[in-house]
Amino acid sequence: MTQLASQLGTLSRPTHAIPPDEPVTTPTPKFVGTLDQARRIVDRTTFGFTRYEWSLLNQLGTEGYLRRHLYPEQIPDGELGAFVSANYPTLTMTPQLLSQQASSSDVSNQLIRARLMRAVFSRRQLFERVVEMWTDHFNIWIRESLVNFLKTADDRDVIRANAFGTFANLLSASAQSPAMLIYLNNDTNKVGRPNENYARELMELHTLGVDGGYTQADVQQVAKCFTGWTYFGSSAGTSAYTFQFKSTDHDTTQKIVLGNIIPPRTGNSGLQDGVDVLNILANHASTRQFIARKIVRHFWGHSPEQSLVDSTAGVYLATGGDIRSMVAHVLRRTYAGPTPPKFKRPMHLLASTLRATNARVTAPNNLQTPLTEAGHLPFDWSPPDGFPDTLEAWTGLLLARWNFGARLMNNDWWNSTTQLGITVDTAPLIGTAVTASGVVAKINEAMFNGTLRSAERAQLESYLLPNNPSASTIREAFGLAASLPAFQWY
Amino acid sequence: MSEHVHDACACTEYNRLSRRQFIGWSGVAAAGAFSAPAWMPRVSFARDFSNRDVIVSIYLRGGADGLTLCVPYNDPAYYTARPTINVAPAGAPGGCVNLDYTFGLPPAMAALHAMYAAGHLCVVHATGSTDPTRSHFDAQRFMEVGKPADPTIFTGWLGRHIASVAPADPTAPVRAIGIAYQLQQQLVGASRSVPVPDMTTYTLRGSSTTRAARQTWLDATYDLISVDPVRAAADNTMSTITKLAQVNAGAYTPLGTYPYPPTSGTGASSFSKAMRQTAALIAADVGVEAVAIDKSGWDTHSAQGSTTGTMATHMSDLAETLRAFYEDVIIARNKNVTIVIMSEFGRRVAENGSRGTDHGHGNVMFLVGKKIVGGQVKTIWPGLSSLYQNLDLQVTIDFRDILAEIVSKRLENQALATVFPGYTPTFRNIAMV
Repeated sequence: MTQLASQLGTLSRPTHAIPPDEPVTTPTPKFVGTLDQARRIVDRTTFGFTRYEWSLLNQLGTEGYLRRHLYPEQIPDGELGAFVSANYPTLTMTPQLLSQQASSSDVSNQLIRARLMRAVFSRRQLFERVVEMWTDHFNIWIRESLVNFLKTADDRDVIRANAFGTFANLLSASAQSPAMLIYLNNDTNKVGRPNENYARELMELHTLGVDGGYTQADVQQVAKCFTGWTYFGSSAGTSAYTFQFKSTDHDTTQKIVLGNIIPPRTGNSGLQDGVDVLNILANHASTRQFIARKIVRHFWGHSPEQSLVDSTAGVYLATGGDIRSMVAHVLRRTYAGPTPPKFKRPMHLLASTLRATNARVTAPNNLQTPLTEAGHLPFDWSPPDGFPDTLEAWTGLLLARWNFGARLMNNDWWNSTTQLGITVDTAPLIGTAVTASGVVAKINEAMFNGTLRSAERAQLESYLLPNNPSASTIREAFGLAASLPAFQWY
Repeated sequence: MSEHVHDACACTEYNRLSRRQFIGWSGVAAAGAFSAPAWMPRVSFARDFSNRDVIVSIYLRGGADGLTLCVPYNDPAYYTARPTINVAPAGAPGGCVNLDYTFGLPPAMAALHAMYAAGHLCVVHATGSTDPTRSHFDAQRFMEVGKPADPTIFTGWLGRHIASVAPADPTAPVRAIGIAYQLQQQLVGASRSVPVPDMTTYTLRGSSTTRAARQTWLDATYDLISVDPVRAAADNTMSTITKLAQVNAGAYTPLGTYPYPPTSGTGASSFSKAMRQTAALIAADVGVEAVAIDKSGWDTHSAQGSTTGTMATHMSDLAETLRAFYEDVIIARNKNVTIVIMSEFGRRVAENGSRGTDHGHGNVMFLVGKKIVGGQVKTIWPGLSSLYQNLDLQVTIDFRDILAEIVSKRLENQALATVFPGYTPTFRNIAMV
């Protein structure tokens, strides 16, 4: 099937599936710990457990596994990389080229689908989890005009380019991102009657946090500092839709930001006002706490433990805001435990289901509908705070989560005529098992690393009984396994 | 939501309240059901139990501009502050629709005037939260939990209302629905409450042959294995699937003469869809007491418009839908319903350089119902010359005064200290008993 599908391949329509990675064999396993710990380490590093990731952990040991994922540029990502460049050509386009595409919604869709395919199939899994965090932190709603194609540049040049860099560089890149400037209206922030939107969210959501110690006067002063930060219009040739400082729109008077004097500056030196503000914010104690808390929440748990936040803020201070160092710090603690369980958000649940079951995806657009139904389609969150990362935000709508498994295992996303869509071949997953308990053991191994508790195993068995269950019952059992309480957490 | 250091406590509060209330009211429901004589239809039993209104709580997300929603057209300061995005005075071409010779509705909301004239619409002006925050997320949160400036409280005012009164219909398995992907914070803490993004697709997918078996399996599994709030959510999900199948909102035929804006195809309105489904739910008498609905798009920092443009589009959608719902549910079906509309804050009095407005303070609320003291703009008008922090409309009526009066008079709940802790409300004569 894979060969046939690739022969049909065209640039615009993905027809080949990315094959699952085969587990590596290790003569002398280096991982020391229980299966529960192994599952947690893989689950907290990736978008979901796979036999391949578990084999890497066994081969490299815990610290080696972490170090591998901390340097994503050294992980070959051939299959996924080829898939993305073959099917989503807009991802590498300049802003000018993006603006010339016939359909900006097609540009948006390519970004959304690439994001989902990377979450499921990239080997640079930790990188994708970090990208997920910063995408929410610097949220931009993709449905606005101009933003609908410029988010592609922001995702590439701001988020992905700086995901493992320093926070100051990430912040600075975001502040000069036309998608962000448009989304938060700084493109029309001019001397005289400034627009406060970006200035406020910069402090509230990107750096200090709402209780970080700024006032309404600071918001107004920061807005003045960023007057003239905009982008080149469509007629600017290759510079079109890139950052521009328009000195004629800049407020040249003195400003005071968080007690710091920003001196009067004229002409192009006025750009320095905003640069000064970003430096003040990136070096502020409230920012260190706020960013540390965000990373702890993302990787450790819903209710960040203050001591871990403090030590992570200490890493920020010691390393000049090095994101890789902070993530490593939090993950080492998360691996070691005790670690509170975290509830998967819908995209994470869908990705982990597809990963654990070696799903075959030949029509990534089919990934969009279930996430829309669950309220978690990437880049489709309109307010600037990003998708919530709290327990209570996602526990209410269980039905949409159950429907992931139900629809996948009933081939709702598979077109039997075109042979395109999303499907799972359960035969290699269950091997020769024919009894209910035998099938459950295989599901347990594939999806839970053998850590499923007896009560949940018994429940799954009850659905499969009597023995010799039919292929469709086995498929449904996989779908129900993805709906088990244990699979909702990681 | 924005980051607060106290969210761990909040979760504990949630677990404690939701589980306890769930168990508590399950007991009440069972007792109620069994004490009714066998010959008595459940519906009439429910009717005897309570006459409280169903509350439809509509939240305008993003900070809707109250000075456009209800225009102080006699105040010259308004036209000075809004040179490019004002609505002309009543009587002028393209001007607002007069309400009381001081305030007027923008032309995009003219559809509401008939409700005002009938005495069923009250506009409250210069209201809101007195907390100084201009953060969307803090301001929404503070209003929805019903206690400004307290980052530790997590349950919502409407959730605590539901949790502190017996069910209007003791047999009702679902008491509150949020038309949303995430249950709105105002409903958190309500026993048997659930978010439903779309009532017409709220079913377990997959093979119809095995659907019942899989649903039973999920119910049993979550009861057996899961912990709160997930277990309670699973219970609520099961009841809601059953109830919504009975409601069959997809086949609903409105009774009113005023059409709902299109709910599918080009120009489809998700707000109209949500309100139409709410109408179906209320018409079906399944005992749901509260529905929360969000309408977003009000964060108009740029190109706000007035009689046309971004905000006019949203206002028209709001008003046309409200009117259709009113004619359908409140007039034609004669259902006891109170609608409350609010937003986290108003916007800056002076427009900005982008022909928009930045985050402000005081705002409007809209109240609709037969037992609302309508046909009035209820305000202690502070004027536009003396501004909050020299920037924004002052708040002269705390939003809790309005909500508490509705909770007391229309929702028949006198436990106001539970619903609005630490606050003694002043009733403003906006509702009848």
